[in-house]
Formats: sequence, structure tokens, C-alpha cells
Amino acid sequence: MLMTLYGYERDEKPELFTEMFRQRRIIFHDQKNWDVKVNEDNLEIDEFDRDDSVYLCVLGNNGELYGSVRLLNTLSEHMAVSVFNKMFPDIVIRSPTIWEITRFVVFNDQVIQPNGISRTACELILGICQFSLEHGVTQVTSIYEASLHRVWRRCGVNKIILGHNHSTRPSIYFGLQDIHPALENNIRSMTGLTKEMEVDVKAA
Amino acid sequence: MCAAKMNSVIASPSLVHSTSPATVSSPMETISITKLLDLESNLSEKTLEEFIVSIKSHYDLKNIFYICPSLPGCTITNPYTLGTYTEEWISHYRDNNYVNLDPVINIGARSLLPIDWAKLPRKSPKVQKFFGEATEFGVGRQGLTIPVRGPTNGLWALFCLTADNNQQEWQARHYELVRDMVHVAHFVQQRAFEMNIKDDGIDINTITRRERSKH
Repeated sequence: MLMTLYGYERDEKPELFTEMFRQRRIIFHDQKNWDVKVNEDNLEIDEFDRDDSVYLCVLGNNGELYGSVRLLNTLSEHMAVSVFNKMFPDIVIRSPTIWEITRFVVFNDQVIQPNGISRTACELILGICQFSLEHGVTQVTSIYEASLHRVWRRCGVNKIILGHNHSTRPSIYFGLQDIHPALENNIRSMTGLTKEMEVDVKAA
Repeated sequence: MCAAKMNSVIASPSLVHSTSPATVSSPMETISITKLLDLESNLSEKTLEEFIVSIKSHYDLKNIFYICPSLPGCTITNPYTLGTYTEEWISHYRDNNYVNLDPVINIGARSLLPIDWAKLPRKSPKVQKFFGEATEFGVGRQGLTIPVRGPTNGLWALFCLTADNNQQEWQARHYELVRDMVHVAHFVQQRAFEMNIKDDGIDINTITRRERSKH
């Protein structure tokens, strides 16, 4: 089940936030060895985890967290213009209707969809599309490892690659995705996720 | 973000000429760039209000209302406002201190996401009564609030719009409407900023015209 989580709910839903930040620490710090901050509670939280940050979470039947992704409005401080600025100095995107996707995490999901991609990843990608259609988002940007490009494509998302950075292993891409109503059907048919699953849009 | 960037955003084709079939047709099919440039060179509360009214009719809306609690001299209970809500509703809202109850204010202050009023929590009887009264005062059947931040730190506002569409009509135009209104909201915010904040720094002790008239 997909759930939208708002940064300002951190005090109301401490367990879910803690689990999300714990999974991020395991994936990005422990496994990928990224240069990320880990706090005294052993959680990966940075300056972009703010009140106005938005998270999409995939939850199991018992409320266990399978994966998450963070969305930041590009008019606010976001990663492309700060942390990744050295990697992509010539790409600056700022618009109230363009959001940036970061911290894409799939945690220990065993279910694989017909397209060969984990169900959680498929749900997160569908969720990004639904979130965008719900909130008038015209494009989403993301900076991701080359291997993730295949995941996007197999889920029916053909990102425009605005830039490559090959100074790192693996290579890093800067991608842009147009949002339009037809994209949702495309993702659904590629991932085999049926119409019954909807984003649980909670206003508060 | 700077003014130039905001300007380029507002001149995007999606706003200037909406060709989408989902957009309700209106007598005026386009909002020309000339009109936007005129507004920028001849900016006043009157011309900005005229712009808001023209957007309202172009998009077949019931009301548009811009609320900025963070301009110099303004507070959440005494915000800078511009738009088409009736005086009756504005006074009723103020007299009942609805700013403390209105769920839009609480969420809009902390989030950047457009808020569809239909999705707001309405379990509390007080909130139900509030929305019931809004309907009685003719605020509009559907509502949307767009939180706006910037262009300087600490400046925020809410851009509200309503329509009398039924649920089906509202859903059909929802995506295009939200997308365009997010740009309009930022455009209005930028103009309000230019009118009310001079570049030579902000004196927090300055009192507003409204405050002066009280003495």
C-alpha cells in the first residue's frame, strides 16, 4: 500500500520516520558507502528532511515499511543545486511545478512484478506519477545511479537524460521526466499494477 | 530565486495559452504576455486585483483570494489580502477567528503542496460547521489552496481559489487547473513582494498604512 507522508508529520508518526531513516542509513551509508550524514541515533537524516519535504512510502499489510522516496520542490533548497552542484554545475532547474526525487529506497522486498522489477520499486514509481498528477506537477527530476535507469525504463518511464557524470563508479545520471495523464496507464501496463491500488492521499 | 526566473515561469505556454480540452472554455481564450508585461510595468493593488479577476473569469472560477501574513506589518490574524471573497465572508471569518480553525492555514504554513479542500480532515464538528458556513456564504463548491514561499526567507502566502464545479467536472480539470494555478500563485506572490518590499532592506519597525490609519 502506498502512503504519502509529510515532513511536518515527523512528531506525529515517529516510528515510521525512524524506520525510513534507518533503512536509508543501511542502504546509502552501510551498503553503498555514500557520503551521507548519520546521526547519533544511527539514522540517515539530512538538511533536506524538512517540514515541506514529502515522502512516498510502500507499506505491507502489517504496516511494515518496504520502501520510500523523498520529493522536494525545486524552488526550495534541493540536492541538485547544492550537494550535486559540483557534478552537474550547468544544470539548474527551478520551478514551482517541478519536483526532485531523491533517496529512492527498496528494502528487502521479495515480490517481483512481471517486468522483473520489485513490487515496491514499481509502486514507488507509480506513486510518484500519481502524486504529480494530484498536485499539478509538470516534471520530476532525479539524480541516480546508472543501474536505476533500467528500472525506470522497465516501469514505463523514459527519462530524458540531461547529464552524465562518469567520474564516479557507478556513473550518475541527471534525468528529467515529463508528467502527463497517459503516463499513469503506461506505468500500470508495464508494471502489472492494477487499478485497485491507489495512493492513500491523507491531508494531515 | 530571482524576479527574472519567476517571470520566465509565468510566461510558460501552459498558462499563457491553455489548449487543453479539460479547461472550461470562456469568452477570453488567452491571457496575453502583453497583459502580463503591462501589469509588471504598471503595478498597483488595482491592476493586480484586475489580473486576479481576469484569471478568475478565464478559468471559470468562483473566487480567488490571496493571503499573505508575512509582509511587513502583517500577521496571521491581520494578513495582506487581495481577491474576490465578499466583505461579508471576510468579516465573518475574522469575527469568528476562523484563522485558528481553518485546516488550510495550519497545513499551508508547513507544506508546499497544493491542497484540495475536499481532502482536508473534516471530522471535527467545528470544522464541519466552518465549511458549512463557507458554502452558505457562497465561497464555492470546490476549493484549492496553494502555499507559496519566497522570494525571500520567511515570506509565505496562501493562494486560494474556488469553483462551483460538481465532483466529476472538478476531477476532469483538476490536473491542468492545479498546474496553472501554482504558476499564477507564484506570479501574484512575486508582484505582491515587489509592491510591498523595497529593495533597500526591510525595516521591521515600519508600520503599515492600515496601522497608521488606526491612529
